[in-house]
Amino acid sequence: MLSVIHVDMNAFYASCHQAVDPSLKGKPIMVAGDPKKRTGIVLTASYEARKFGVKTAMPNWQARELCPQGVFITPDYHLYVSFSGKILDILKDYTPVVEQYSIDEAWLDVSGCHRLFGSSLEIAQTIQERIARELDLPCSIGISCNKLLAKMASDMKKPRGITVLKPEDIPKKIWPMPVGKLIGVGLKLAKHLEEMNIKTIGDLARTSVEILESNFGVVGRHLHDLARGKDKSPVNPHSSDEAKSIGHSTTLPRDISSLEEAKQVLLGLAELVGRRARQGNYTGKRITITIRKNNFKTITRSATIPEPTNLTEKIYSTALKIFSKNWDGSFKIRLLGVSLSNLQKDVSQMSFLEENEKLKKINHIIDDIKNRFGENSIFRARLLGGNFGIENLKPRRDGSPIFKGKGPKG
Amino acid sequence: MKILFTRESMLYGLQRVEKAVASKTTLPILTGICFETLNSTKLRLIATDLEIGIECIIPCVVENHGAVVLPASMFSEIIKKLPEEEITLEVGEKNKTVITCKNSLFNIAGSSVEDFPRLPDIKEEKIIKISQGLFYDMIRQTIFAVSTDETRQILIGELFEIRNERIKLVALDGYRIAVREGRGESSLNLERDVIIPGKTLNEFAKILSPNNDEYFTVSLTENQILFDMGDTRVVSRLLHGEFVNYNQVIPKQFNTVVEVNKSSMINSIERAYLVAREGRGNNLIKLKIDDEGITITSNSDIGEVREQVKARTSGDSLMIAFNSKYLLDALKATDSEEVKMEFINEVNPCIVKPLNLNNQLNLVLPVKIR
Repeated sequence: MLSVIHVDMNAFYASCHQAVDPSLKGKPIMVAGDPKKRTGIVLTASYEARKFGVKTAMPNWQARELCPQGVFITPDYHLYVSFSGKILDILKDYTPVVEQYSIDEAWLDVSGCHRLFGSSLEIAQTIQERIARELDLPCSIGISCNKLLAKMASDMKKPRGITVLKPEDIPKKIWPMPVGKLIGVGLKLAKHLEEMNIKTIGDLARTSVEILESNFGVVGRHLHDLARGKDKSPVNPHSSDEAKSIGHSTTLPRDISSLEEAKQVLLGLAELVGRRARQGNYTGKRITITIRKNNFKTITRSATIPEPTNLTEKIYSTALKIFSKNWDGSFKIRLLGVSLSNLQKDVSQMSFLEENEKLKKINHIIDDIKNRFGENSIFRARLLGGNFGIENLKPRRDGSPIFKGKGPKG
Repeated sequence: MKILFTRESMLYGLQRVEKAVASKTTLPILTGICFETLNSTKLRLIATDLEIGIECIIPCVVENHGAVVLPASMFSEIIKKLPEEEITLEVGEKNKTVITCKNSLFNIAGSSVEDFPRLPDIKEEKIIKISQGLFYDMIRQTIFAVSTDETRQILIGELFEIRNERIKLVALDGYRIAVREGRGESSLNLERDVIIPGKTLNEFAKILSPNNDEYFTVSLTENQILFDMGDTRVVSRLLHGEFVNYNQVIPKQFNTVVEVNKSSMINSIERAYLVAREGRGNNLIKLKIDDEGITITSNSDIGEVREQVKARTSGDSLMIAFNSKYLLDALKATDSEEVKMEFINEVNPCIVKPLNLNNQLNLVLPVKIR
C-alpha cells in the first residue's frame, strides 16, 4: 500500500514573500543574507530567478550578475515559521501521523485514512490544492511505500508536481540517477563512491554488501538498503520531541580577535539556544562550543554542569569558561557555535535559592516579550551595537537531527 | 642549619602539611614546604596555598638553627624511599641542601624562606573545644551538599554556627540542605556564624582521627579560623557574605510521614539508579508512597525498574520524583539504621532524618515533572 506522503514546499522562503506581497509575484526574487556581509549568499531563489541560473548558496554578487533585475530580500524567519505552522495544521487535518523534517518538508502516513479521505493520490491532490488556495504557496508531493521513496518522488516533479512511485519502478526511475541524488548520500560520500566507480544509484544497488561494508562499516549495509529503496523507519510524529541537542552557530562578518567580541557572540548564541530549549521545555547539562579558526580548522570542546539548565545566563557563563580555556588569542576566529545536549524534557530539579527562581522568571519574561513583539523587541545590552551585535548576525540552527543540514532547497 | 630526625616523624609531619601545598599557583614558592627550627628539639613544617595553611611541629635534634624551603613533592618522595634510619638535613650557602641517610646522599636546591608567607599569628582566645571524632562526623555528614558552582562563592563554604556550646555545620547548594548539630566545650557565652570554605573542611577532615575523643580548639578572627590540635595548626580564610537563611526553607508541617530501614531504602535506590543513570538528565526516580509502603520506579532508554520497599507510612498517598543521587547522599549521611522521611506534596521539600535522634537533618527538593 502506498501510504506515505512527502510534502516539499517549492522555493519556500521566496514563495512566502510572494504570498504576502503580491507585487513580487512573477518576479525573480532572491532571499539572501545581507549583501554587505561575506555570508551574503542566496538562501532561496524564486523559480523566476532560477531561470537565469541563480542557485541556492550562490554568493550574492554572482546572483546579481546573472539576474540584474532580481529583487533581493532579507530573510524573515518569523514569516517562514508562521507559514510552516499553518502548513502543518493543514496536513494534520488528514492524519495525526505527521513528521516535520524541516521548516518546509514533512511526511504523512495516511494508512487507515483512505475510507475517510480517499486514496493517497486524492489526499495529496487535496493537500496541494488547499495549500495553494489557503496559503498561496506551491508544493511538490511524493507518494510511495516508505519515507525514502516518498521523498525521492516529491523531488521528481517541481514545482507543483505530484508523483506516485511504486517499488517496482525503482530500477527504471531511481537507478539511473546519479548516486549523489540518493537521500542520505552527501557530497563527501558521493565523491568517495564515484572514486569506487559507483556513479549511479543502480551501481550502488548492484554493489555487494560485503564491499560496501568493508569500505563504510555499518553505513555500507544501510547504503545498500537505501539504493534498493528499502527504508523501515516509521513516520514519527514525535521526532522533534527527541531532540538530542540544541545548537546555534554563526559565521562572523569578520574574524574575531578579541575576547570582548567573542563574549558578545557567545551571549547571542547562548540566548538563542536557551530560548529554543525553554520553548521545547528542555534542559541539558552538557554545553559544547565550536570554534572555527580562520584557517578553517575547527575545534569543539564541552563541559558538563552539575544541574541541567536552560537559562541563558548559565549557558553563557559555561560557554565562556570553555572558550577562555581554549582560546589564548593566538589565532583569529571565523565561526563560533554553542550547543546544549544531554537533554531531558519536561522535568526540572526544583531549587530554593531565590536567584535561581529569579533567573528563571527573567528568562521566561524575555521569551514572552519576544514571542509577542518579535525577536529584536528585547535583548541583553551586551548584544547592542558593535560589529557582532544582534542585528549583524544571522546564526543558524545546528544539532537537532530534524534540522540537520536542512534549509529549504526549493 | 643542620638537623637530625627519624623517617617516621618526618613522614608524619609531611602527611599533615602536604594537604595545604599549592598545586596550581602563580607563586612557585608555594609548591614548597617551609622547614624551620624552633628550639633544640623541635622543627616546624609549614605549607600554604594562601587559602588554607597547615603547620606541624615534629621532634628532631637541632645542631644548627636555621630555615629553608624545599620542593614538597620531591622532598617527600625522597623521605618515603629512604630506609628506616636516622636522616640528616644540612643547609649550606644559597640554600643548597644536603640530605644524608645511611648510604644515600642527596643534593637539593632549596629556596630562601624570606619569600615564604608565614601563617598569621592568631592570638584570639580559644573559643571552643571540640572532639576530633565528632567534628569528623559533622564534616562527613554535610560536606557532600556544598555547592560546586563557583559563581556562587558563599555556597562553596559551610555555615559554622556557634551558640555557646552548641555547634552546627550547614551545607546547601540550592537543591538540598545538610545540617548536623553537635556539642563542644566552652566557658564563653559566644554566638558567632562563620562560613568556612568546603575545601578547608575537606582537608581538615583528612587530618582528624575518626572515633577519637581527643580535643582540638577553635579560634576566630574577623577573616580567619584556626584549628589547633597541639602539634598541628590549621588556618583558613573565611568566606564573607550572607549565608542563605536555611531555617526558612525547612518546613515544619507534613502530610506524609514514612519510617523506613535505611539500608533497604539505599539498596533499592541504588538498584533503581542503574536504570536512572542511563537517562539523560537528573538520574530521575519516582517514589510512590501509600499504605503498602514505598514503590520506587525509574525508566530510561535501556529499560525500567520497579522496587518495593517495606515501610511504615502515615498520612496522604504521594507520587514524587527525585534526583536519585541527592536522595542517596541524604540517606547515606544519616547515621541511624531507621530513618524518618517527611513530605508535604510532590513540589515541596522532603526531610530525611534519624528516627530517634534530633542532631541531624537533610532536606532534598524534588524534581518537578510537567
